[in-house]
Amino acid sequence: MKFTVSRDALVSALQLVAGVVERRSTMPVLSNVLLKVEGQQLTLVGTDLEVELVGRVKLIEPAIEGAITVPGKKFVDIAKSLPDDAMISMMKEGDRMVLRSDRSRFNLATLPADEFPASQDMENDLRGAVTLVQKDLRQVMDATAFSMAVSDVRYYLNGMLFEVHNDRLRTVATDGHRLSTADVMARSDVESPVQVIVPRKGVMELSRLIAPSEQEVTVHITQNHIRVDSGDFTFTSKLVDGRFPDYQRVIPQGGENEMVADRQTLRAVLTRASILTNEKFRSVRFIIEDNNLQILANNPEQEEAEENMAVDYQNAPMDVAYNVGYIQDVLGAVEGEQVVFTLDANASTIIRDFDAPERATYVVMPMRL
Amino acid sequence: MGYILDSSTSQRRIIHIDCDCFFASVEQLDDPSLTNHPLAVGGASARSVLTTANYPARAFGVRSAMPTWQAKQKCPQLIIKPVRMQRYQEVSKQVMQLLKDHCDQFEQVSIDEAYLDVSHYYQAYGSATDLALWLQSLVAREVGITVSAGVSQNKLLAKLASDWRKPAGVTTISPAKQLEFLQNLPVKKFPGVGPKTQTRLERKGITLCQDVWQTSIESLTFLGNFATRLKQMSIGEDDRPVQTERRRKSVGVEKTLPQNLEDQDSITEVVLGLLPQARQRLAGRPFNHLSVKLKFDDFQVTTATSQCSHFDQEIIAELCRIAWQRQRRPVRLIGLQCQLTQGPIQLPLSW
Repeated sequence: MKFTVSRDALVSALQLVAGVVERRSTMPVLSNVLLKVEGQQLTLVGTDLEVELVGRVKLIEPAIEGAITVPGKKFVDIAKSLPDDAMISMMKEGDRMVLRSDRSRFNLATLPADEFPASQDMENDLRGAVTLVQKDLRQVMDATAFSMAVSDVRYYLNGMLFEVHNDRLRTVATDGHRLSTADVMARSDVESPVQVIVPRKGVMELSRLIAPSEQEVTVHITQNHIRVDSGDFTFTSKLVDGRFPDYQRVIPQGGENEMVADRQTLRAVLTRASILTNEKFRSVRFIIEDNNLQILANNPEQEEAEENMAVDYQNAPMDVAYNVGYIQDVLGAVEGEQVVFTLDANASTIIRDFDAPERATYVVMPMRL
Repeated sequence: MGYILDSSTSQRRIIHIDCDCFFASVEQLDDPSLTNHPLAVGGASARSVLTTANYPARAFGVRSAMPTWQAKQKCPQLIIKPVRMQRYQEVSKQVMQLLKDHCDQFEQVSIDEAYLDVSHYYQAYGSATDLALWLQSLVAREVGITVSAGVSQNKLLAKLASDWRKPAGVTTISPAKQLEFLQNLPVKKFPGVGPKTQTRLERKGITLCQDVWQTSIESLTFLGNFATRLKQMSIGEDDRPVQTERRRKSVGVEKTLPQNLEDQDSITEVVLGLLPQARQRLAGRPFNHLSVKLKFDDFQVTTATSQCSHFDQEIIAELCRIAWQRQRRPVRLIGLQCQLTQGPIQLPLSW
C-alpha cells in the first residue's frame, strides 16, 4: 500500500474524521484511523462505535491499493505540523506505515484493517431520505442545538429530534425547561412523518462537518442510524432509542401579550445585567409596561443592576423572571433585527424572529423567585 | 416550673443531656427483671455487633460496637436483646418532649442527646446546674430512664461534662475550672478526633489536651483545617449556637414493602404511590433535586438523583430504572427524597 497526497488535502480530510477518535480507548483499534486506497481515492475512517466519520481525498499521484489503520491523534499531529505546501507520501513497510515528506521520516505502528469496525449497512430498513443544501442543514442545527439537555436522566433529551415531513426538515431540542424548533425546506421521499433522535455527540460532530455552503447533502434515516453524505464526507450516527416528548403540546397557543424588541439592544442590556445575577441561578426580572422593558438583576452580595429599554408593548403590565442564559442563547441564534416575545398567562414565553417567524420557535419557561 | 428571662449576662449557659446506655435502658424499662444483669442490645448471630451495653455489662469489658462473639467471651452470662428501634424512638420522643416543654432553646442532636441553652433564665430562680438536676429527676420520674447532664458555657464543654460522670451524673464546668478540667483530658474525647487522627497525634507525642497546648499550630498542619479547631477546643473555645430549629435539608418518604419487588415497573408504581405523602410533607416548600432510594434484599442501599423541581413522572421512572439496574436484586424498601432549596425555581415545560 502506498499513496502520495498534499499536506493540505490530507489535513482537511483527517481533521474531519479525527474528532471521534479517542486517544485512549478500551478497544485499541478505536484510537486508530482506517486508511484505504481504492483506485485513485484515499478514504479515511474514524469511529467511536456511536458516531462514524468518513473523509475522502482524490489522489493525483500513482498509488498502490490497500488498507491499514494508524494511531489517529499522532497522524493528525504529524500531518498538521508539516509545512503548508508539503507533499506527504505514505508506504506500508512490514507492519509499519512510513510517512515521508521532504527530509522528514516517521514510522507509525499499525493494526490490521480487518480489526476496524465495519461501516453500517444502510440499504436495509431505510425509512427515508431528504436532500438539502449544507448551509440550510447547518442553520437548523445551530438554531436549536443549545437547547439539548446535557446528561439528563431522561436520556432521550440528550440529543436532537430530526423530523422529516412534506418537504420539510424540522429540528427540535429541549432540556425540559426550554425548547427550540427550526424548519427548513428540503426535498424528500418521505410520505408519512419520520422522527428520529440524534445523540448529542452526533449533533456536535455533524455540525462541525457541515460547511455553510450551497453544496447539497443527503440525509438517510434507517431504524437505528442516520447518515449524512456530501461526497467529501459521510457521517453516520446511531440513533437514541427513546420517545421524544410531544413538543407541539408545550408550544403555548394564543398568548396575546406581544412585546417587540430590538435584538441587539436587548442582547447588550442582558449582557450587562447578567454580570450581577446570582451565578448559580442566573435569574433576571423582566418588568414590561407601557413600551418599556425594565431588567433587574441582583446577587447574594446584594449588588443590583437595573436596565431600561424601549420596546413595543401596550398590554397589561407583566413582571416575570427568566434564566438570563436561556434568553441570551435565543437572541444569539435568531438573525433578524427585531424579536417578538409572546407571553402567556403563566409567563412562559415564545420568542421568534419578527420578520421571519416561521423559521424558528423558542419556548422559555419562567423562574419562580 | 416558671423561669423568668434574664438578658443581663453575656455568659452563655448550656446544658447537654445524654441518656445513659439508652437502648439498654429502654429494655430494662420494659422488663425491670433485667436491671441488674449484664445486658446488651444488638444482633445475636456470630457476625453481629452490639449497639449498646448496660453498666453491669461494661464492668466485664463489654462495649458498644463490639462483635457479639467477643462480648460473649468476655461475659458468658450476657443477655442480648434484639434492636427495637421503633420503641426507642417512642421513648426518645417522650424524653425530648419533656426537655422541650421546659426550655424552648432546644436542639436535639441524636436519638438520645440534646442541648439546651438556658442563658436567659433568671439565675435567682436557680443555677443552670439546679435546672439540670431537676430535669434529670423529671426524666427519671416521668419516663423512667436515667440521663447524665453536663453544664458549661458552650456546647463543647457541656458535652465533655456530661460524659464525665456517667451514669446519672451531673457535672458542671465553670469558666474558672475550665482549663483545669481540660488539662488531663485525652484528645480522643474531642469530636473529630477518631482512631486515625488519634494515632497521628500520638506519633507527635500528643495524647492529652495539655500536649496540644504545648504544640504550635505550625506543627499541626498535617491536620489541615482541623488544626485550628483542635487548638480552639483544647482551650475550651466553641461558639456554635444551640440551633433551635434545625433547617431541614431534605424531605423524604419511604415504604418497607410487604413483599420484595423484582421489576422496574412495580418499583416505579410504588414511588408514584408515595407522591401524595411527599407533597403533604413538603407543604409547598420548593425543592431542586429528586432522589429515588432502593434497599435491596441484601440490605445494600442505592440512591439515584436528578435535578428536578417538580414531581416529573418521566424523571421518576428513569431514576427507578437507573437505581434498579445497579443491582437487579429483589427490593425490600423504596424511598423518595426531595432536596429543599432556598433559591428560585426554574419552572418546567409540561408535556
